[in-house]
Amino acid sequence: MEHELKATVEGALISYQANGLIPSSILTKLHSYTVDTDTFLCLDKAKEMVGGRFLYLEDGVIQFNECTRPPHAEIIGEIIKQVVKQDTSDVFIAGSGGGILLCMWFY
Amino acid sequence: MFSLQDLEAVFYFVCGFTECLDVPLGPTDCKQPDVHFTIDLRRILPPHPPRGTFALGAGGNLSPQLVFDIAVANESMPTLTEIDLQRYFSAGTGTRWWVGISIFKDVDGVTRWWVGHAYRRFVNGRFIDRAELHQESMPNVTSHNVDISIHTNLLFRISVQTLMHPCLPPAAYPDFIVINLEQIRQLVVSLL
Repeated sequence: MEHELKATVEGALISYQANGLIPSSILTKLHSYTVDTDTFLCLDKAKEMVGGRFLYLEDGVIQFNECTRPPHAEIIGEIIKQVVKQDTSDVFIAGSGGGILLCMWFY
Repeated sequence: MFSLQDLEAVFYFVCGFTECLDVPLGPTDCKQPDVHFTIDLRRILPPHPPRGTFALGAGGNLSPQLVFDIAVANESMPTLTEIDLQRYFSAGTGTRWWVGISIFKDVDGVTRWWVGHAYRRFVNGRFIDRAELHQESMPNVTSHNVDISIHTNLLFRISVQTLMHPCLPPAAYPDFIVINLEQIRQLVVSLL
């Protein structure tokens, strides 16, 4: 199993490093594994990759993500500042990082 | 007795909690806007808009109408302006206007950037699930984007009418929310 897991992680890493995406077939297989911390730490792979990409363990599942880089946060602050100054009647609620749902559900 | 509309609302309410998906960008990724602005219905003068006017999002609250997608050297142009952009305007998202800012950071060379904005197309009195990239956007190229050290006069004017349709803004509210890209450029340059 460990050999299969390593091979699956490697396949995912190659694809993710190349274009930031992982084929769904590989991802499904990867997420079928429940991995403990020791196994994850022993994986013979770098946990951090070029371009701020990295992998991490979440609830026993290996996940992939990409760091934001400065001045990402400062741009967010500047945009909120500009818009809020013009929103003279507080018509809009400002936010950051909230999800958008894809269900067809309307008010 | 429940009306058909009530039952429909209950159905979609359940869907909202069983299929809580962010906007997927691919098999491994979900999308959350970096900055978003949502109409506060408490600020809208009665009569309130009818059901179906604005899409709902997490927790049953309105989805944002104005979203900003900011990338600092971690997204390619096709991803930002094609895949992400269309995702933001797909069915049910409620996005009316999108602004994208991408910084191609190069500590050893020329840092470049791309800024653009797009709005949801309005056809025959209805919003459709298609984005229209505004002509004020920087050229959509795969390399040699604009050098960020060069001053820009770009001002993105975001139509309040589009954001709020069919609701009306309060009296004396500006027609446009203006995003000053030169201020953002200067901030970025100061932090590189």
